[in-house]
Amino acid sequence: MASSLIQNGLTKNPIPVRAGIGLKAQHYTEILEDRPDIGWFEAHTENYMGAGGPPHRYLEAIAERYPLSFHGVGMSLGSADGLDLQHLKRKKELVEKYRPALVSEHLSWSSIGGTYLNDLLPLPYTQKTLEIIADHVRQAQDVLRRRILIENPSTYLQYEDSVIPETDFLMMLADLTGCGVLLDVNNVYVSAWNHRFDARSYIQALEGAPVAEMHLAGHHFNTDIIKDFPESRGLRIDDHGSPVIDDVWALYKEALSLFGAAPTLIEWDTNIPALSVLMNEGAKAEAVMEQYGRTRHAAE
Amino acid sequence: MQLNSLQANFKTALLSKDHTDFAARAIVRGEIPASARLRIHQNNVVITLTEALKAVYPTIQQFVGNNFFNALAGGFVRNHPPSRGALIAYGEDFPAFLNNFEPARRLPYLADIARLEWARHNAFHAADATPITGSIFADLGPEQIAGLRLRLSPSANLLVSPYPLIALWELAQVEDEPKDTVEIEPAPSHLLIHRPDLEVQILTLTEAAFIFLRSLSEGRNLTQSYEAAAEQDTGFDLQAALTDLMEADVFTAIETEQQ
Repeated sequence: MASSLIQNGLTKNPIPVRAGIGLKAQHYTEILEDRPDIGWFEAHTENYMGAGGPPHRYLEAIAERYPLSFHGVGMSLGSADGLDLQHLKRKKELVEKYRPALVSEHLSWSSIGGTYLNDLLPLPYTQKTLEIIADHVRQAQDVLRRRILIENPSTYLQYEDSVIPETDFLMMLADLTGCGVLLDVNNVYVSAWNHRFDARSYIQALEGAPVAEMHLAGHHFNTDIIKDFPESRGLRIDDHGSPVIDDVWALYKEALSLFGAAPTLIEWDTNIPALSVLMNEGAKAEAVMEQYGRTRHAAE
Repeated sequence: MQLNSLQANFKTALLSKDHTDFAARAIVRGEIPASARLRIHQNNVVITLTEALKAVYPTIQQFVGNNFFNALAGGFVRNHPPSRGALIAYGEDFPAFLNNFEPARRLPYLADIARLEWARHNAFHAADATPITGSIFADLGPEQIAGLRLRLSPSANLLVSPYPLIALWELAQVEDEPKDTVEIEPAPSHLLIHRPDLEVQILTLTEAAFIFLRSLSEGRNLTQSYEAAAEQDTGFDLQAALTDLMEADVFTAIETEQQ
């Protein structure tokens, strides 16, 4: 079902099974002047919600030359009080204008009662939450007239009320709505560390999930907190501000062997380095993909 | 706890400084207490929104320094969090907040510099439009021209201030210069902030030209707008003003009276 939606003319340029890079304003002119060999770009949809000006001028030029993915950070699919319809409408306009090959959002919430908190906040995993977010994913897919991917979050806290494992929750959400899964390998590692679960088991528990994209990123390891809480081992904070660490590369290999090669984004959103640094990370991901990612079978 | 009340309580906890009660009720305690875990999100909210404000108001940051700006932004974020999931619209209330922020009172021009920065931000993201050229007048008779309405570019922002905003703005760009001891003589600014193509431009106008342009932007015709300007300056030269503004690509459409 998913592939039929993607093939019905909505998409301008399909995303190749290669590494992609997060699109940053700092790199616009270099990309257009040098035309580097980069598989695809992923843009934060909200950065293009202005009416016009340079952001659109550059994105139009880049979308002419490279496949594009739209990654949303502001939709707040997990909000108890419903989606912001104006936000969804603007997103629809952008999707229709740029026709990105992939559109993704997060398993999280950010807004309540007309306040947007600009953080991807964790959800309590209950049957009721599943019904709410499934309704919102369906609503978003209906309005956008396409399948979206939902990304597993980085979390720092868990709720007393949560009763469903996150992996089951994601798989059920995909079953209920037909959405795909964006597997953020770094997020798995961060959450596993913070809550002391096994990252490999998490990946294995997703076996059979419709993983259509992966994310790789660096994170911050906060060890200061150990001073205050000596029995802890620190918290890992997902800040997308450094290279991917070795443990996450190892986990990525695990994910590739299980799900096959998939378009993989290098995410780097703070302390943004030169484009060449991002391209090196991308080349590394492609080498790993080559070695560990079996060819995906036709059913996918 | 119902999802709705959990999220409402979470929001209150993030925006207030005390959140131990909610944390203890809703969040699993591990080796790291719930309130310390919640603090990660509290920091995320304040830091990322402060960064968003710094991107729009870099000159204010230059003026007051990083620490003061962080305090300012923290107060603003807690009292005026965003209402929408697209931050391009966030920070419009920041100039007014500066006006009422007690520690900023000794820099009375700060709020107007912030208005200038917001106007620049607005112009940057405004809808694109093709400017009209002078040849558009060629086919019109004198009476049609008198009744003409000129539409300003969607990126046009008009700003008036009792302070010399351009001089202050340039001063802020000079690094390592102490800014808070500078004596400011009042000298009014009449500015047009707009984006003819990819770059935002700031035009300094005479008061009469400013009145003329503001009148046009409010939908009055050329004659009415000229009269408003001439009231301020009897020597206001309509032809010269129009030529300058056309050359600056300020106008994007005309409407004749008949339309």
